[in-house]
Amino acid sequence: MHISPLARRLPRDFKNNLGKYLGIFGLLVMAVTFTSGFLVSAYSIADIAAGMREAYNIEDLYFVTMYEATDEALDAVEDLGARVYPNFSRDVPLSLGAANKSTDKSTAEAAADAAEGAGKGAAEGAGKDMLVRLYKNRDGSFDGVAYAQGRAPRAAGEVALDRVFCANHNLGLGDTVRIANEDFELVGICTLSDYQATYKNADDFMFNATTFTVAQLTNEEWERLVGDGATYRYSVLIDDRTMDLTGRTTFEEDLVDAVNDNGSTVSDLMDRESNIGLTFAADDVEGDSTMWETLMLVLIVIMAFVFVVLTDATIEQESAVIGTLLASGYRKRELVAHYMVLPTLIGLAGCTLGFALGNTLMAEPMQGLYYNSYSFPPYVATWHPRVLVITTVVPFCLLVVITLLGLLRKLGATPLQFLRGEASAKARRGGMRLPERLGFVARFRLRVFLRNLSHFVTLFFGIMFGSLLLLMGLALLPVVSINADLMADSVPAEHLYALKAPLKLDATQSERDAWAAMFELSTNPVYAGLDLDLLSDAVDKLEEMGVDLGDMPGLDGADADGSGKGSDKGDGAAKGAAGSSGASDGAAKDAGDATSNASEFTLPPQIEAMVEDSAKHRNWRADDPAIHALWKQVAQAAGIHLKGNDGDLTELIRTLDKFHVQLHALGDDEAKAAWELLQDLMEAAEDESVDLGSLKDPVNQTAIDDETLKQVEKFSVATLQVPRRIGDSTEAVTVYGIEPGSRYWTYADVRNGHIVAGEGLFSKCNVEPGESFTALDRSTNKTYELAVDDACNNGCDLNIYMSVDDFNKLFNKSADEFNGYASNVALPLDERYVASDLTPDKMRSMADQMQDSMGQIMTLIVCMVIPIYVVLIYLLTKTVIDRSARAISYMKVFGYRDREIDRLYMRTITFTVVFSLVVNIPILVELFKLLLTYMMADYSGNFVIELPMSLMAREVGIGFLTYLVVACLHMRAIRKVSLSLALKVQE
Amino acid sequence: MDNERFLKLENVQKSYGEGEARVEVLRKITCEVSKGEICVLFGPSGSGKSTFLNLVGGLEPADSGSIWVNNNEITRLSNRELVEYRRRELGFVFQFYNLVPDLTIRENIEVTRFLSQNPLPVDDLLHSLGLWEHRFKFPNQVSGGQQQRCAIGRALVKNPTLVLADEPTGALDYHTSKEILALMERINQEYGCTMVIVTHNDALRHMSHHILRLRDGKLVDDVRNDHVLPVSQIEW
Repeated sequence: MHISPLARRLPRDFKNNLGKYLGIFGLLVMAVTFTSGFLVSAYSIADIAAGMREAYNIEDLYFVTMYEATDEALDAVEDLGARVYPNFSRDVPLSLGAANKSTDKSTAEAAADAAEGAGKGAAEGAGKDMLVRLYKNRDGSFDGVAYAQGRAPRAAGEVALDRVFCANHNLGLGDTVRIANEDFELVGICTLSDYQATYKNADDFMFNATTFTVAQLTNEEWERLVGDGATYRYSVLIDDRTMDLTGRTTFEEDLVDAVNDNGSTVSDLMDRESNIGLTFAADDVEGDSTMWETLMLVLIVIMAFVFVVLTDATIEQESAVIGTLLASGYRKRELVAHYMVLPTLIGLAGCTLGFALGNTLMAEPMQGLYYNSYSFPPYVATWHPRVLVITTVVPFCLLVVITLLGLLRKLGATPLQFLRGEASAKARRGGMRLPERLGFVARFRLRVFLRNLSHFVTLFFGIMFGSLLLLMGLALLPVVSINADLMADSVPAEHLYALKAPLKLDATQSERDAWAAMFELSTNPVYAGLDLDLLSDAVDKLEEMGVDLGDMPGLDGADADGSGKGSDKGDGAAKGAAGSSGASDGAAKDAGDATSNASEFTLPPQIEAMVEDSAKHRNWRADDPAIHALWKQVAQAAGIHLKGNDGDLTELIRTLDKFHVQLHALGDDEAKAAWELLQDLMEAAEDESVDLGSLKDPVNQTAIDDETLKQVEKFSVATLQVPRRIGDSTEAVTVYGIEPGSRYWTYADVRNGHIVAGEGLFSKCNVEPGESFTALDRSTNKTYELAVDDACNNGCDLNIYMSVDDFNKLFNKSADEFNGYASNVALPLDERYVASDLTPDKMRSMADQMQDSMGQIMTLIVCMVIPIYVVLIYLLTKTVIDRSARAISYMKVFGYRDREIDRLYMRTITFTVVFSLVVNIPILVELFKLLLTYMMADYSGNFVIELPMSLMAREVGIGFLTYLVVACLHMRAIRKVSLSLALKVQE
Repeated sequence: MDNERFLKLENVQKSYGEGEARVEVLRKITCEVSKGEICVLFGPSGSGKSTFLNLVGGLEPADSGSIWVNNNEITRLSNRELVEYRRRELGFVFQFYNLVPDLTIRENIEVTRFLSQNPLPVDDLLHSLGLWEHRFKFPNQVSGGQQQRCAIGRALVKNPTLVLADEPTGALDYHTSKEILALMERINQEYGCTMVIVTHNDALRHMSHHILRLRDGKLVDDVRNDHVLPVSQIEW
């Protein structure tokens, strides 16, 4: 087989065009290194996050009870088809030891460093009190723990802490930390799989790996430190791990009922999809991956563009040689093969090296983007063919294919055209006649411009792509900042409280007392042995027997006014306990039952004494006529006339006796406490203003002044999934039911059945004004047909607004239902009923965290973009300047001074560059908007893309400075070429 | 057509442009060149000399008429066949050499040797061309005459049957031109290849066997020279 002698020129061609080939090589290496490095890390982390659920038996949901749940309650949950694991915790103060082996900085400095450097976890900054949430060692059966270093605590005085917290504070094994004022040795650095992002509370807007962390202790140490002060959280793994959200929602409703029906009360419940500690990190990785893939797409377009330009330039430069070889009998494919060798080898080397560097050199910094913020198990790179394909194979193939197509296109010219230097169509067209009235210099410049028109057009587009890349690096953070302000402005009140149950604010003290008593009796498992239904049954029976409880004198002067309505109250409470939280549902129901039974306890003391005496001896029977006579006698003495037959009386006596036995079975203190609670309830009932039956919803326990109450506005809120414009995913859109003419949502006119939505909804989702669309409630799997009449507010706002009446009709709620308060004054609401408190500051903080989260990536992008931009401008201007180099040499031979030559040539090029930089601004803005829309497609929310003029000025400035550097390099190279050589080449 | 009539053109026409801009470059050219002849093609600028050469070389198609080379009617050949024709039969020499700048003198000659089934020995050729001492130099390190010798070597190394030379001495001084012409004469004699040389230099008619003269696209002279002089005896 013959090897073409042309092969020998390859190394020389490489050497002679070192700048060009190094440019391509550098471009490929940089692009592939950064993108493959990021995507390999991101995909691997996404795999780790996705695999954690099975590998670490991560909970499907958790619930919290007011008190430790009864065994019956837990059994009842397990009977639903799940395993329940107590996952109790307590937050206690934490401080870092002063003499730590590995801590060479002060805690404050470390925290400050963490805030500045790690970014993502540094939510609250340094210098604040720290908290640690203590857990018992877990055995891996649920929410497993991954140890990055060390081991689980085995002895007293040992602790294991979250990895990110340790990293943020330079803590290492053997260091000492103070937990609840006791020294503990750090023996393990770990990841608790349910704290991938360390959110202190599920409704927090920011995670915090700086002043909050989680820890594991031995069971004994945990018991000693926590004692009775635990949060009773239970992790639940549903047997059917594939159950979808709709199924889980039903399961969760059943769970609440099961717990509440078995002596405990659910105070909080969180599905895994709503648990940001489990989802936030993985969502962040996914969103960033989309951004980098978009960036890669831009890079590929830029590289394709550069390859086309360089191929054209090569052919043009080699025109005479190609013509000669063709005339000598070379086949085109032989020449194509020859001209393909170097780009292919360079491309292969660049892509291979880039991929290798990406997977080695960049792996750690890229992992660090997430591992510095999120607590994942130790990193394990996983093989993703997609990363190789999109970051390496595609750019390489693109280089090869584009070069090949460019060569084939260019080599379509005849040998003669090559020999005459007419390989390009423009060269064959000939010159344009220019008006004589133009001066020589102007015409000359115009000629330079026209002769290089195609190159200038190329340069224009090259600058456009390069500037776009640069803009992506420079503009994202300012855009986030602008959006942070808009998001903050979108919060209509200083506080938007989302409630787990409709919490009553305008209650009297009596109502608050009544509710508190009801709540305690119904939720405290100490009183679980009291069957309050017995009292309810007794009341019913007494009423059947014609007893007007309202007229019956009670103990301690208890008036029967309220008690007369007791049975209704129980029903009402049960019916009314339809809040959004199952926990409060149960609590409200049980408390309501308690209310209904309160009046029965106001039996005459004689009966009480008799029952008590009888109970002691247990020597009587409820159907004993003597007992009946005694009851009737005592009742009559008390002014009560008992109607009904003996059977009714027997039943009444048995019921009351049972309750009495239960009460006295509590033990003296508990019985006394229960008695006092019942008395509180009765006292509350004395207040005529209190309608215990109306206390179907929880009552806030702190009084709120009238002025504050006046400015409070109720609203309803729900979340629906609306299809996004891009991709097949959905956006979680908040639907607000607000008061028409609201003082807070002034921008949302929802009068007369109007439905409006923030402008962002129309940008992000497939929604048009006036046209109906389908939205899905994922928790019920129910779909809703909605039509939004008009847009309101700003582009960051994706909420849908309607009147509260329309809202309740739409979601089939009762007319007076609500689940939120808007207020400009902070309200002292009972925490157990508050799902979230959204404030403009929190919204700003969320955006700040987003900035922190994106900040490192943006810095990385700028670091990547600027060298690529320099190389790009270098390569593109090189084609123009190279082409003019010979002519410039001529001018020098003719006697032109360098300055004069600059005027003729360089000014034209400079003008084109400046023109391109400036004229590209509006194009860039539009392109950037388009790209960002795609990049942010997988993030929640909508970005309003406004680019400040100062930013664009910076962009142009960087572009021009880059050109100046590059132009100086070219001019220096041109001036070093000897004049005779330049002329000789022309021969 | 036999071997004696190695090259034959019959009513060959070629024009450029269309409408009013149409220029007829060659008008019904008919002529024959025998095998082993040195044929010199004269004519003023714009007379159609280079176009004549390009048509014979298969670098561009004729509008009408036929061209036979070595019994092949090249005007009927496809582009692919034209490539094979050039590969097999032709050697090209250009006025401005068109050497590959990043190949040495030797390598520039080897570039076309590679295309031939029976190439000439490169070393012999380098000696014959007087380039042996310069074989490792690059084109920009040698004189114009040496570059043209190299270009001639590149054309000859394939051992072509037909050498087409377009103003081979056009860019050279008198002495160098004579050296080049003497070289071509010697090669013609040594290797017996047919040569068509386009030139402005009227003195070259003395060294040629066959003289063609073009004017305004028409063949105005087609004469054989029975008194061929060696180049050394020619002055201009």
